[in-house]
Amino acid sequence: MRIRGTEIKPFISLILIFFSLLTMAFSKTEVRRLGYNVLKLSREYKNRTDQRRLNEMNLARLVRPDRIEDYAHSRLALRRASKGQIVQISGQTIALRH
Amino acid sequence: MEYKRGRIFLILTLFSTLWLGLAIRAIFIQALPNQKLHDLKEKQFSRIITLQPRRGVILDRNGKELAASVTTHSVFADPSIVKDRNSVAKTLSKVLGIRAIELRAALKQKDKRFVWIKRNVSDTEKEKIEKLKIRGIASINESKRVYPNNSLLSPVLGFVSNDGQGLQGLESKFNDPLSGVQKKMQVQRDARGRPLVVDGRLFTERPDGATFTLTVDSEVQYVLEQELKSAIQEHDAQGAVGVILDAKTSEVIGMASVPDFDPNRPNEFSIDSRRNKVLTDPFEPGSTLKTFLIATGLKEKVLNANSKYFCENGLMKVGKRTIKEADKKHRFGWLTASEILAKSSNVGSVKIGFQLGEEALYNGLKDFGFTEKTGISLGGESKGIMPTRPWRDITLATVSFGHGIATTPIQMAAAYAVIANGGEYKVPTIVKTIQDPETGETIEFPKEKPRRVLTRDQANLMMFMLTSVTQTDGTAPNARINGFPVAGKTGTSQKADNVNGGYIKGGYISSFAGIFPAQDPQYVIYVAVDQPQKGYYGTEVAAPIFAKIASYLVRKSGMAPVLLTQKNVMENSTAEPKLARTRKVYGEKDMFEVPDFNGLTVKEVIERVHGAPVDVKLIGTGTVFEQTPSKGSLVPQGDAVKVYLRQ
Repeated sequence: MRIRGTEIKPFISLILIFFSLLTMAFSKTEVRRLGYNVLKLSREYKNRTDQRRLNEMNLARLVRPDRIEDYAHSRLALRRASKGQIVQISGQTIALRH
Repeated sequence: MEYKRGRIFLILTLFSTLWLGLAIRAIFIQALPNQKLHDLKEKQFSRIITLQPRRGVILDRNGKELAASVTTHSVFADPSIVKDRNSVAKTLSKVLGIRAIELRAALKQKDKRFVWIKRNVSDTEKEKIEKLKIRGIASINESKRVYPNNSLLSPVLGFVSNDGQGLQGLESKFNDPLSGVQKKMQVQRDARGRPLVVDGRLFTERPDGATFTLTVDSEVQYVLEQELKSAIQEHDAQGAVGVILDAKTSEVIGMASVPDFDPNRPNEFSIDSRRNKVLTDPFEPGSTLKTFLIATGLKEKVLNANSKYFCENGLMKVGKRTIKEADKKHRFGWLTASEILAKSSNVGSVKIGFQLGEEALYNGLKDFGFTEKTGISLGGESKGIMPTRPWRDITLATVSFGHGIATTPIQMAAAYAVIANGGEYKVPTIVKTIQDPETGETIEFPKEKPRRVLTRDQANLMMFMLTSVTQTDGTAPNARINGFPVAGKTGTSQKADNVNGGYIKGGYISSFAGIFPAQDPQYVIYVAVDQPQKGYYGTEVAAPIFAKIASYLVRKSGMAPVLLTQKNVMENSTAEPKLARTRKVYGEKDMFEVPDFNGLTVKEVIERVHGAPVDVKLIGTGTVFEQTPSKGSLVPQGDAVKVYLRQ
């Protein structure tokens, strides 16, 4: 039996409406899902930033002047230069700069 | 049939009406605005998130961290839902190291929904707590202020409370910009209360406080603190303070007040050690103030470097009181203004003070910044103490040599910087730049406009006079650094007794203010030691501290020494004395006529006097513009002839 176009049109309309609704629902849930992902990643980003700051502080603690001086004394047997012991002739800086 | 159709039509109409009513109602609710429903929806589905700002970082001039905030964990409890608090207290006690009895007391508060158990716990402790999964016990993230260099620069930085509010120092002064701005955001939430993120930047763009970069060099600061601490130990002193300024800009390179404290645990230290005494504690400056007495005299044109004053052989009566020299052995006769400074004569200073008068001296000291706060951007600054006017004669006399008046170390350093930079008063600054956390823009900290106090020539002349202080016959040969001319002044003053009045018996403050290198000033350093027990003169206690710090600065900044000095050249030359033909003999002693050195270079002066039995002192570099004694004077063998040079 041949199906006429006029008979199939309502059926196609219904399908279109149905899939449009499904697509809208899917988009909304996808937005939600991505939102949860962003939330998770942003928390991770925050944790990494905090960890980085903590590492920077740990590094600052490790290179603080009194620690370096203690290390120079105890491990490298160095002493602080006394007055007039080092004389710059060239005018070039010899101390380390950060 | 018709009857049936009628009933069907009626039912159809009824249901259609009902459905239409529902549809209209739905349209009303959904499409038309309704504030009550809107508010209900917001309450149910919205949540306000507060983004706590992280406190800003404080850096030194080289970008090294001095203070920053890190995220830490704090454990809290909801006592209303905790079961078996005895067992919970015992368990937590083992993990956190707090006494179980204290934990039980906290958990007893059943009416409370939130009590702190322990703040700022380590990661390990936090993980152990989470593993235990005790109902009613949880942890939250908090911000903790960390000072990685411990006590370095602590009186300047200050510290914060447990809640992150600045309580002292820079932390308090700039609490608002450092704290940042709290941001509140309204977001949609799901049924479990989780925010539905529309914009990911909600959490990544955290509102931090401003970043402050200071003018302080942490390496120089460390050396300054170490030298002061060594001096306290060596001289058995109560404390010490020190300031290092950039001579040209008056930026603070170092500022120390010891004993100090660790801002990571401020409550373990006394209030006294937490005070920045460079700003807060004025004291009698003693002879270091004489510099400004003479500078005021030059400014008012009542004297010049060669003006002579009779110093009464060391004793001078003013009213009922007698003014004496610091050292009883000193019985000075006639001294020039330059020599009064070099030998630190109290009587000479009093004579200059009387010559100036109260008004001129008061205004002169005011011009140099005394009687007022410097305006440095740190809290708690004292303006010092100036005696109430009108002054009696004895007050004028004592103020002239630095007693009866109290100044702070920062005032002193800023005043000496006037001489070092060519005559301008510049407000000392400690904050270099501020970085805006929102825009990332770095802003230079505003500086006040300098004001002229001395002319350039007057400032240069003061510099040359101050270099004579560090010569062999000056009061501060211990401040010398080989190869670098140093200008400075010692000070020894009695310490005031703030409780009983008068002075503390045997209590002195030893100080030294120095500028170097004198020919092109880079640094101004002021140090003072409080109540040293082993020695108390400025020259034996404070001047060596200056020399050690200055030596370090010389090495750090790579300064090349001034190689040509009188000593270098005079020692090795063997040519015949050219002055011999002007020699005249009177009685038993040979006398020499001083020639005119005006406009000569160092080499020419040395050639002119070489071999003559007089001691020629070259002060400064360049060509001669002044000499003491003047040309044509007769000086006995072995006497000193001072020659002042400038570029």
